[in-house]
Amino acid sequence: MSHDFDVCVVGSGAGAGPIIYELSRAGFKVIVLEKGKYFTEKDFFKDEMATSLRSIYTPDLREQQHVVELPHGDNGWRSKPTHNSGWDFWNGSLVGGSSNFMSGFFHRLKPVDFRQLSEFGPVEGANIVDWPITYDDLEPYYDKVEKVVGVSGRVVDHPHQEPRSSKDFPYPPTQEHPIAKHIDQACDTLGYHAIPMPRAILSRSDKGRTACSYSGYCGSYGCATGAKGSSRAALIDQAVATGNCEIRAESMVSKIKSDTNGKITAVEYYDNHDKQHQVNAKIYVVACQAIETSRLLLNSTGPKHKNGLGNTNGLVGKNLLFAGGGAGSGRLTYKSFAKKDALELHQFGTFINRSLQDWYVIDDKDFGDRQKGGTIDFVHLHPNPVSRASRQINGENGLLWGKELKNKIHEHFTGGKYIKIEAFCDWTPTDNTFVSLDSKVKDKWGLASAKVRVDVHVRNLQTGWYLASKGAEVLTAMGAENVVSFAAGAPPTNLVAGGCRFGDDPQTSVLDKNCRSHEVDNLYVTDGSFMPTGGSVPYTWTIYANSFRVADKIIDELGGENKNINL
Amino acid sequence: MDRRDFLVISSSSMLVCNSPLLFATEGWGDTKSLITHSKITTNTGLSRRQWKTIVAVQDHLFPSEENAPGARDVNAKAFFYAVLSDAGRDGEDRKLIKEGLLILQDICWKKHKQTFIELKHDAKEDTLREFENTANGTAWIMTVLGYIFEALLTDPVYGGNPDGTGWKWLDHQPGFPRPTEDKRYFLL
Repeated sequence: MSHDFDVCVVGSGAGAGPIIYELSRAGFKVIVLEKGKYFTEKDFFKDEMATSLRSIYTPDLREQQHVVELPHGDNGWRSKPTHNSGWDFWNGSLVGGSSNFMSGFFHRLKPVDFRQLSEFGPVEGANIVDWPITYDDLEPYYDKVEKVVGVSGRVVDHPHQEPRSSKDFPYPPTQEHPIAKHIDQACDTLGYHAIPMPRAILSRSDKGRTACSYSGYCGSYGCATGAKGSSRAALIDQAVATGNCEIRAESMVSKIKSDTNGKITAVEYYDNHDKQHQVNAKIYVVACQAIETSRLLLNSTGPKHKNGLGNTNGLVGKNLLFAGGGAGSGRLTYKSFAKKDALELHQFGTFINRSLQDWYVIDDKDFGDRQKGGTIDFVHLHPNPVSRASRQINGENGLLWGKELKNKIHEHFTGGKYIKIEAFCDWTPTDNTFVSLDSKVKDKWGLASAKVRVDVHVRNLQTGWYLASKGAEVLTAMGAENVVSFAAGAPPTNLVAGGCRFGDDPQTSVLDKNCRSHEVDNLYVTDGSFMPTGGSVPYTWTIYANSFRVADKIIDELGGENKNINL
Repeated sequence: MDRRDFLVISSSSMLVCNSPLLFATEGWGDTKSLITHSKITTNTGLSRRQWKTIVAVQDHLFPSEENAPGARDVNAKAFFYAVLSDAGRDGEDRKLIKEGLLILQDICWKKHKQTFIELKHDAKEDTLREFENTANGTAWIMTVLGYIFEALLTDPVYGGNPDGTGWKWLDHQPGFPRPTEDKRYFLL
């Protein structure tokens, strides 16, 4: 049977980019169906209106929304559509997906993350399992991401440094803000090991991309230089240049069609005029971020897939992961420092780039048994000025306004430099955080919306609190004022994975260890959905690395590198 | 011509053809200060008097000072008009503001037998504090303040923050590249 393409990829973010890049470069014909628009560096500006206040890179919630389901009462659940709820699970619908807007805090998982059940034993009320692969299986691909996507940093010895095949990063660290020096000094005093935070940001121009311009606006913003290693800038542009890759932007996949044998026959999608089309390929790769991937599979019923594609065991959508953790902040008040130091602190544009992983495994009898901990990142307060001003509006007895409000805003902006703590720990997988289809709410195409049930395991809060308080110790030792730290219970909707666990047992997982569906031979899932446990770092580097790993498997399946390669 | 092009052209025509009437109805007057935040605009549904009340509230919530810009210094009225006349929005803000104005005026009348515009500073403060405690009073005030902040601190390409006056006041450094007229969010 002839096919339109060798590979059809649904989505174009971090889980899709390496597949698109590798398959195109290997000479295979690749079609990419991306719901969002095709923006490039020419479209990215430091415009708070576009990125945050009007959210033009995410769908209009009136047309495409989710339903969030939260605990209610003793044993109940209450669901509500996200439009006008304050919830928004979208992170970036455009070519390159939400990787366009990441901060690029890149940490690898560590060997212990691949065997949490074996290492620490079960956790009550949680579905902890070991991964079907080891760190050693993924290490070459972490290394590949450093070189292909571009990761800058500096390797230093510390108690939880993971094994590496390359001695150091291929790009030197991005420029550091003087705050980094204060963190290093405080950590030396406390006996902690401050490490330079690796970033998916080019510190020197390379690969046709321009080095970071240090504009001070990174996370939440598209990169105007191409320094940030988004899936589009780092991978898709190169894939398109091979002539083997076609990007169909503004193409919303509505269903993956399958035949009586259960094999996929085509993908149906709507174009930007809401006209329906379909395309077929030898292999289909779904990577539209965890929630939407599960939704698409659940919506793709067929003769042999009554419960959704590859969902005979009912596990599609289950064990969804966010990121657990804590947060905090403190302020280095200018008047507490000598004028020269205050001027130095006032600098804007460079990165703090400091992390602590001293408690990646917590071995503290006062806290409990030896258990999984996490990572603490020190970062600037996000510079968005409207957002910062808006947070000053609450007073002790109601809203502030008038001169009192203006004085508070002025002091907030000009009185000192804020440092934020972002602590990452595993989001403990449970039976009560999952994706299903809502029976009532549909999108503008009439497709059932994803319903996201969220419950927080107490372990997330305990570990988040522990880590955040360690971060607060550092801020206090630096001389920061108004230091606060807390566990964060709400799921960060920009850090999502799981829902299609990989594993060796078809009864307890959705995908095999190569991220191919146990039930559908020509279906792979390569976004963060595969992850059975999350690890205690942001997901993007691991998603990239795993997608490169799976790309090799798909190339093998297609018979190896195509000799008719057109590069 | 596709729907997108039609909307751009027709909305431009509508602005040119209808603006004087629209503004006269809403008491705008100064068409030179027109700011658009959308390809398609609609009537805000607010009268001339109601716009005057909004300006008085804005002045009270975020007053001008010698060394610090207030709402009127950053084109907050024109900015708010652009927001409320954006036909692409769902109208929740328009509804909230219109209903809130009626309640605010009702409080003014009951307490002071005057309109908000006519009140002295302390009476305005007293009225707004009482209004804050009504059902949607807090949301209403936060909405008005929120758009003042946008006028104060978003890029001047959107019509507020003239010459970056808000940024200068707060010693805030904008990022770069900054948005250009043809790359404003609603044109992307």
